[in-house]
Order: sequence, then C-alpha cells, then structure tokens
Amino acid sequence: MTRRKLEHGYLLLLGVLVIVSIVGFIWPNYSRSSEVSAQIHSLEGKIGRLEDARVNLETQTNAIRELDAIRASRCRDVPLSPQVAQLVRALSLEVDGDRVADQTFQVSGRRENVDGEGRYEGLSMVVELEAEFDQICSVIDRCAGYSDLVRVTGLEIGITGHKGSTNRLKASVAIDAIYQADEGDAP
Amino acid sequence: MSGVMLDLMPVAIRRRAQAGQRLRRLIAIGVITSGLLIAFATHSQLRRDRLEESLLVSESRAAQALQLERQAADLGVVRKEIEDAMQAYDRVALPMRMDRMMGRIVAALPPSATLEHMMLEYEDDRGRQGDRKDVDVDRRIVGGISGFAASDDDVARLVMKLEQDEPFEDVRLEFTRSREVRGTTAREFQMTFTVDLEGSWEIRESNLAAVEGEMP
Repeated sequence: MTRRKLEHGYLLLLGVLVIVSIVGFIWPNYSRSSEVSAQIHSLEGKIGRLEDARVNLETQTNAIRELDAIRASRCRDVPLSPQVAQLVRALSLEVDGDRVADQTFQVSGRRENVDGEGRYEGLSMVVELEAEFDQICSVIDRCAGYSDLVRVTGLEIGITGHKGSTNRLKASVAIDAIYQADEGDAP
Repeated sequence: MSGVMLDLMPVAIRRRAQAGQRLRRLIAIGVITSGLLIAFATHSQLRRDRLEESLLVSESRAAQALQLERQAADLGVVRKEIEDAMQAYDRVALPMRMDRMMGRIVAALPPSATLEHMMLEYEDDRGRQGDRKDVDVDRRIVGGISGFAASDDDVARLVMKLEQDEPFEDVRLEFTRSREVRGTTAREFQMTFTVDLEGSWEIRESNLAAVEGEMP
C-alpha cells in the first residue's frame, strides 16, 4: 500500500469517525435536550399555577371550616333513621292526672322527599295531649330543643269541654321527625 | 552571479520531506477534528444531563401543583356538598317556632278576649309541584282561631293587630255573633290567617308565661 493510499484511508477513517460521532452521539444528545427543554417549558406553565393552587386550597379549606362552624351552630343533626323511640322518650310528659291527664303518640305516615332533592324524608307523628297550657308548650319547646331535626307542622289547641278541668286543654301537635333518605329505615 | 537557484536535494529526500509535511497536516487535522468532536460531544452530554435533571425537578413541582389542584377540586366538591345540605336543611326546617307564633297571637288579644280554639298548620306546594328542583316551593302556615270577646270593637282590634303584625297575611274574620258567657253577653268570633314562611320577618322571643292567663 502506497503512502498516498494510507493518507486517504486515514482521511476516510476520520470522516467516518466524524459522521459516527455526530449521528450516534452528538445529534441524539442535542435532539433529546431540545425535547426535554420543550417539556420543561410546558411544565413551567403548570408550576406557575402552583402558588395559585396553594392559595385556592387554603381558601377552600377556610371556607369549609367556616361552613362547618355555621352548620354546627345553625343546623340540627339529621339522623340516618327517624329514631322514634328516643323522640317519644324525649317528648313524653309525666301523666299525673292533674296537670297532664293524657298523652298519646301516633305515627301518622311518612313524608317522602321533604326537601325536593330526595335528600331527606320525614316520619309524621301526632302527639295528642290533655294537659295544662304550659305542659303543651313544653312539648313544643322540647321539639324545638331536640338535638335531631324535628319540625312542628301542626298545632291545634282547644278547651276540653269537661267540667271541673278548666285548666286543662286538648291539644294535638303534629311533628315531622326528619331523617336522611338513603339509609333511613322503618322505625 | 546568476540568480538561478540550484536544487541539489535528491528527489527521494524531497518526496520524504513533502510526505512528512502532509503527515503533519493530517495529524493536525485529526487532532483538531477529534478535539472538536470531543468538545461537542461533551457539551451535548452535559447539556442533556443538566436538562434531564431540570426536567425531574420540574416534573416533581408540577406534580405537586397538580396534586394541590386536585385537593382544591376535592375540597370544592365537599364545600358544594355542605352548601347543598344546608340549603336542603333550610328548605325542610321551619324558620320559626310554633310556640312563638302562638305567643304572638295571644299577645295581640285584647284584655276582654278569650281564645277557645287555635289551629296552626304547615303547608307547602311540594306535592303539587312534584320533584321539580327549579321551582321555589311556597311554604306557609295556615291558622285559625276562635273565641269570644266583650264587644265587636275588641274583635276588630284583634283583627287590626294581627293585620299590622308583619308575618300575618290574609287575616279574615269569618264571623262574629252574640253569645252568653257566664250570664254576660259577649261576641263570639272566628278568624283565619296565613303566615308566609319565605318572608324576611323575624319572630322575636315572647313571654309564654303571660300567655297562660289568656287561655280558658
């Protein structure tokens, strides 16, 4: 092999080395760098919202805390079932024949979808009383102060008509024991 | 002396010298090319490594932002749920207590009037409007009282007082008629009214102890 051919071979080898280096190493590196740079640019848009997301999260957390406090102070509990036994016990007066001559509880029916969204249902009850006025008021007062949501939907008070029982009145108090619709079972 | 240069170098030696020059040039080209290749390769690798590292950091921060956004969205759902529950509660719970309403009626009675019968009943249009959520349900209390007073003036005073009392609407006197009570002539009356529960009025506390004496 002549010296010229060796020189040409050397130049060819150098050219091949250049091509292999560019195609196999340098170009893929720059290409990948370009891709990564584009990804970083797109992610920076999301990262830019990081502070907004933090503020939004804090706002939502505070709003929920305030709403919970308002709900706790303003709303009574709505149980999963009507819990009639506890309600009757809470509203029951001592029948002494003097101030309270009679008290009757009667479940009169069920009110479905009382809120219009199918969230709550109500069990209607009627409390019949023959008692003095303050005792009748105490039943209404107990309904208003009961821990679960009980609403008085009707009230009828009249004189008894019995002679000798002038202090006692006949009263009928209609109440709805409200409970959650999904899990509510029959009492 | 003539200016002619005489090349006394033998041809073989000249060729070797030229070959040596070409070899040096080739070596220089090889070194420079290799240097450039090494420089570009190093730069490309360093740049790639640096950007890959930045991408990891960015992905981590972006994931944090996305997680915060998701948490905020979840809390938004919870907030909406609480608000809906409170609105549903307000639609169900009555904005006033029956005993306070009763106390208000009795407080409006003139001294000579006595109630014999009182009726208060809650009504709404939900049954008529079905399950439509977009319609505001009209909620009211329908009431009626009957009893007797010393004169028609007292009955009229009671009607006027109830009419002037903000929650009471449609106060209607059904009738008044003569009646004897314990040997005295009195006027028996009956009236009806409604209370709009969507109104902005406020029921204040009333002293029910004072009410007791009014009932027979």
